[in-house]
Amino acid sequence: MLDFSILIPYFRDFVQALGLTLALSLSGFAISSVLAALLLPARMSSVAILRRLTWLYVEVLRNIPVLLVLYVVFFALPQIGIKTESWVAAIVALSFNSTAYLVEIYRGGLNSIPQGRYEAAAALNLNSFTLWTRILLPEALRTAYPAIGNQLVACVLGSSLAVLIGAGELTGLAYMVGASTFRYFETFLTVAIVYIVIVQVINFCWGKLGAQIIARNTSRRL
Amino acid sequence: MTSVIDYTELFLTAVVYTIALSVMSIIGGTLVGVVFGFLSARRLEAPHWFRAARVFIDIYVRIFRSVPPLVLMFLLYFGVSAAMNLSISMTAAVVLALTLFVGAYQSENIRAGVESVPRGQAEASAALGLGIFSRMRYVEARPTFAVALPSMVGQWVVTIKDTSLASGIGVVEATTIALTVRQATGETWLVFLVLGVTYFLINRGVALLGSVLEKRISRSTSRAQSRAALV
Amino acid sequence: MSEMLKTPVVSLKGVIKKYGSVVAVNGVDLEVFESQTVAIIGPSGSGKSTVIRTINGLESHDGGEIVVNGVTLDGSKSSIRDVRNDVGMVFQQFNLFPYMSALDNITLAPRRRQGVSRLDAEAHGMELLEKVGLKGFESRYPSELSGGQQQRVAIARGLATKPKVMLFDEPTSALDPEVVQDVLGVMKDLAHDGVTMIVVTHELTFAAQVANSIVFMDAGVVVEQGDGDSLLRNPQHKRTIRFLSSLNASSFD
Ligand SMILES: Nc1ncnc2c1ncn2[C@@H]1O[C@H](COP(=O)(O)OP(=O)(O)O)[C@@H](O)[C@H]1O
Ligand SMILES: [Mg+2]
Repeated sequence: MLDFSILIPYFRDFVQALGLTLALSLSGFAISSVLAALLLPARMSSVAILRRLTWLYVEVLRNIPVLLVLYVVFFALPQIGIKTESWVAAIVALSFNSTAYLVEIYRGGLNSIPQGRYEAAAALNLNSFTLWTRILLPEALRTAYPAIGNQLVACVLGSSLAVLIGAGELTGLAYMVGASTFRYFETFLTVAIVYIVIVQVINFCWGKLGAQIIARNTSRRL
Repeated sequence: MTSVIDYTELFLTAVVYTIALSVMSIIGGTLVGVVFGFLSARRLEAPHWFRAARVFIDIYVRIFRSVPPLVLMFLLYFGVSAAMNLSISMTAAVVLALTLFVGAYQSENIRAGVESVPRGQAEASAALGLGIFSRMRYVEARPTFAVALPSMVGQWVVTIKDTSLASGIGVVEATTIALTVRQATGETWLVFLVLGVTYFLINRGVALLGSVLEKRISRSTSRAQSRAALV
Repeated sequence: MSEMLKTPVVSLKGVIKKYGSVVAVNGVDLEVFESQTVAIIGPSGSGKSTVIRTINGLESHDGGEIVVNGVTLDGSKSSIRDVRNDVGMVFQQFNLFPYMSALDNITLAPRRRQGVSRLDAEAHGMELLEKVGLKGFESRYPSELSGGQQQRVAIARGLATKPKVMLFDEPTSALDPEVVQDVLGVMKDLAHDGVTMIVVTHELTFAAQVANSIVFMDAGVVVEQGDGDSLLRNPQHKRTIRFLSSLNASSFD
């Protein structure tokens, strides 16, 4: 009864859509990684206004659906003259959303470092550059690393929302193919499997990369 | 064009639907998480059949953490009815999709909580001859929830936000109605602002509830009078 | 004498336990009769904990025979369950359940495992608390008790199921010096009341005063066994002598 062969003619479209899914999620993740790093000092700043503003950003973005962020970017921003293609809107929305989570993940990593580490560094008279590059950041990265990987996966899953503003990434293509063939089950099942494979590959690579980073950090000579 | 105010009642009804979808999905996801988390945790002296259950649960978790909930909804709503000639309601598709998706994350949260219970607790339970279910109920449950509750509440918030995806298959809920009102009135910013504030308030409320629960659990290691634990 | 005619409550014959290639226990024989207290002493890593933990099946053994109150531990679930019914255990780190009051800790197993009614379990629990010198502490949570008090609750918890034998694995090693005697005092009382006990300990004075028999273990084997007088004052083996002098046992002269 199930007939997956109806998907064969769409093979090239699927490859393209896969490319778009990866492009959306990876750029969203990359941009938010940087944005979060830029926001982090403000989030942990001793200047109250900076701290509160970043706190507000994080709270708002973590408590409203990404879909709403996407709609704001795609439907509302054009009204004040900022018009974007659907794929751009998707990247922007994903980045805004992911930044909020990553700021907190980074902060959690830094906060997990025990006070004793600072005291030890002070006792050794390390300057703050050495303290940060050799002690704090590597240690914070190690703690935060798995959560950062989860956020990357969240970006992949989140990119699927782009279908709702008409982008032709995996979910969008599946929707169109389903509608024109009436083979919804086969198409969505196939796409679901593709997502599963993408995420497994990402998890695997992220794990390998992490092992390398940790190995380098621990064996590096001063 | 009509005014946004005219849609107040419709929108409030939609918010109720959003809450209803959320409650059902949160219950579903939490139940899946609690059952699967407790069954799949690695621990001292677990019955052998737990190991078989863990193999199955690991596969489940791997799969459902990796599929976008929107795709799950499409698959359940369009796919299952097309392929199996069995019609599944939109609401059921949404709740089932979110239950499966969030359940996978909750399983991991609970499992981590159970595995954080110190080994000595399991040894003491074993030495006292407690069966695995007594051990779960009386020894593991509270420390597990004390540890897992913050991330569980985080998933409750995710669940609430993800009910907005139901608009993708046309279920009546806050986001769907907001889009309708936007079309009818052209008040894009205002409508989205109201929608955003709505989700924000609901989620902050849930977070608040979560921190009350957390306090209650952590207080019970040092409450002056006892009873509760064995009732 | 008459002791020899009785069957032992606990009997170990040639017990072996391996962890991978490490042989933690290498052929240990031990017999404990009713109302006896046996102390096990020896350096760290000599296999004392492992031996005592095989007796209630917390560790499975790889060779030899363990019989507790007529039940042979054969690795089956039912044998482990039966043995644990007859064996109470006290751990170095207390391992009280932190989310339960002292009384709930004590009544949990009688109620949930033995089906004792709450009323009876709590009445017995209160008696036990009084016995360990903690009358009035029944509603306290472990976090509200000192280490010595926690360990005494743990002893009461172990006794609550009315076991045939009590196992103690270094019950005072995690305690501040000033409360060690409180716990040892309770254990002395138990010995006096005729409770059968196997105690891993570094408290030689306690062992000398209370134990009917002291076992010295090293590297997974029983090197020497005897009563307080012979083993502590007149050790036969070099390793025993070395261990005792390392503990500064001159006070036994
Ligand atoms: N779970 C375990 N895994 C591997 N080796 C262990 C384990 N438990 C104990 N051992 C080893 O077995 C030996 C005996 O340990 P133990 O019985 O704890 O000694 P003791 O209680 O006399 O200090 C030691 O060499 C120890 O390292
Ligand atoms: Mg030991």
